[in-house]
Amino acid sequence: MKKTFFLIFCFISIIGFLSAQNISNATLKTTVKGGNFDGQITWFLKGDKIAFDVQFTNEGKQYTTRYIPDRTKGIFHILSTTPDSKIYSTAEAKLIEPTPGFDRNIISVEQAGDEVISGINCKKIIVKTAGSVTECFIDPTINVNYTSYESFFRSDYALLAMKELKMNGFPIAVKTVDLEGKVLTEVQTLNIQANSVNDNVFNISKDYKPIEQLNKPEKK
Amino acid sequence: MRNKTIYTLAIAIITSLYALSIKAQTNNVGIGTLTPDPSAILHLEATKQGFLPPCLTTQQRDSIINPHMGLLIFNTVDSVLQYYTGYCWMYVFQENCDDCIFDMYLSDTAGTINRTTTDSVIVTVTVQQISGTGQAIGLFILANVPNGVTTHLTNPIINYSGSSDLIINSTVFATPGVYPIAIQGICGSIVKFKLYQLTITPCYVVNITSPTTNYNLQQAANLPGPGNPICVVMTVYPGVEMKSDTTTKPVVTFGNLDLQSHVGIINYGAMLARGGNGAVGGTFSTFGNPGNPGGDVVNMTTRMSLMTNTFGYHYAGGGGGGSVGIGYPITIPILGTFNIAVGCGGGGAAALGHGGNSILGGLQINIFAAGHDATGGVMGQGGAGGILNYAINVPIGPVNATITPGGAGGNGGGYGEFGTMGSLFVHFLVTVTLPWPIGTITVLNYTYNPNINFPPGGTPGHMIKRNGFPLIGVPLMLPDQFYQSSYYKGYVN
Repeated sequence: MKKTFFLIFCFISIIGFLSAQNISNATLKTTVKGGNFDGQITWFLKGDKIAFDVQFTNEGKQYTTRYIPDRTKGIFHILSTTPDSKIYSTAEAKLIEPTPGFDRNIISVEQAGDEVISGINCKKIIVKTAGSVTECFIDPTINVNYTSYESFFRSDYALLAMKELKMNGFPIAVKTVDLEGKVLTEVQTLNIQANSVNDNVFNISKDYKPIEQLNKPEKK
Repeated sequence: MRNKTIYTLAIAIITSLYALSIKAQTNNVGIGTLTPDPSAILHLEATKQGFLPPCLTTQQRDSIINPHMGLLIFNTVDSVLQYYTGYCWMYVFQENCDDCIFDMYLSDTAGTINRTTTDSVIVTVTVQQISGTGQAIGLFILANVPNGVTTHLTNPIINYSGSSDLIINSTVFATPGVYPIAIQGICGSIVKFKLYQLTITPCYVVNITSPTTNYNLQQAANLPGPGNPICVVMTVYPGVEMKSDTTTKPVVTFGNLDLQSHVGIINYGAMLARGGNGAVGGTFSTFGNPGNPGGDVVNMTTRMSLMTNTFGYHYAGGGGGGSVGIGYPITIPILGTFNIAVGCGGGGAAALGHGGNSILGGLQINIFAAGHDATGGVMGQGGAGGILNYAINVPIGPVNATITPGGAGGNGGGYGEFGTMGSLFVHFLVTVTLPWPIGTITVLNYTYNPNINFPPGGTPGHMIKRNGFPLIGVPLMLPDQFYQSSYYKGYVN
């Protein structure tokens, strides 16, 4: 019963989203499975700004981290909301390591026509490397200049394909399998809410204390 | 009547004239003999009488005006026959006027050394030249004494007259008994002797022939206590190990011996004090703890003599290594703040000190390497401090925190050595891995180095803790200082 309600909810949401064109303000909730990660990523897209939240629970406590890529400075602004504190830190994009097994040496990028995924009319792209095949479903109506974030999103065959094809849009579903058919990564979008992103999402709230202050060596 | 007197006088005159006629005929006189030797002008013979020259004091002798050469007297002051040479009055045994004649006296002819209240006696030797030109009088000692007894003259050469102190010392180790000491005075060809009798009273003897722990001399040997000062000689036999099992107890104590007692130690074996334990890890708010001090070998509560040529081992316990610790609230992006405690225990010190362990507990991330125990015996070595040089991964959700401490607790000291100070820093590398679309982000790459001097290692113990009592090294003194030699390790003071 819950599953049925959930699917209906997704369907209605996506149908509603379909009515919009050239979306520049949306919130997407995606599920991501791969490696040791199995969780949700919530994307905030506004203009060409991107931020995303990652949540997980540990020992019954919830942890939410917002990553705000800053293309100018080449850093992630990271806002960590833990059960006990709010922390602001940064991470250099140049230090990001692709997911183990991710192969930037793409053998082929093939446009496989349009396909409706959960009611959304997507461009299907098939990306092949020496060890994997990835099906990417790109919603071309989301106008966020996704490929300009290449230095941050270093483990996305969809981004590489879109760059190759000079395609705009945003991947709402990705599935990578190895040559034996084993699923390596699977991304699905559950929910898209248009016009839901406030500018505050991209701000660094003073509620978050810089980590340099928190880890200042104590004097004895 | 008158006629009778005249008759008698006439007889005497006639008799005397007869006798004189005999002398006149032989030109010599005999008394007690009718036939004086022709070579003698006066020949005396008797079986119950002697010849008595004039008996004069030296002053009376010197009052004789123009004594004739060969004039003979008996000097009543020096009790000796003297004759005048024409130049000086000579004793009959002198060869010439310059021969040295002197007297020699001792202040005492016997004495005793008990080695408890006294280790020496002093005898004053007085000499006085009484004849001859003034000369130097040499004094010599001929002592038939055992090892450990020495004699010394403060003034071995005296001009004309004066005195010298003969100082006789005895160590507590000398064999007791009665010994003769001859004092010889020589002036020119004249030699005189005086005899001194030295008595050395015995001490208690305690032989250590089997291993001991925390040895209490007075108690173990059932020696007299307060009010009865004694001297006692304790001999540790070769191969025997005396030790302590805790740094608070010395290897040897004197127990309740009277404070005026005198203890002698002859160590042919090994006296090995317990080493200090390595420090345990600090609490969350500290950076570790100092190493513990080493134990003492001998704690003196009376005067003591130590034989220093025995090749026995006198090793104070080493100081334990200091521990290091960092108790630190580290804030990790994504995860928040964690209390992390990283530490290394100090190594134990020789002998047998225990390595420091962790007293941390209840914290969220504890990383601790215990110190290592020391070994025992003469070849005992201090234990090394615990070492942390490996990475520890703490995975929480998509986050992997890699904590890499670098450092070590202080090492325990060898016998008589200081424990060392440790060092520590901690590196944090925190990554978060998102398989799509990002990869692995390094969210924290941070080294925490407190840049402080961590707590020091422990101090070594005393080889000999004098507590203000005199220490006598035999034959070599042991001045107050820090020793680190083959047979002595630790403080003496």
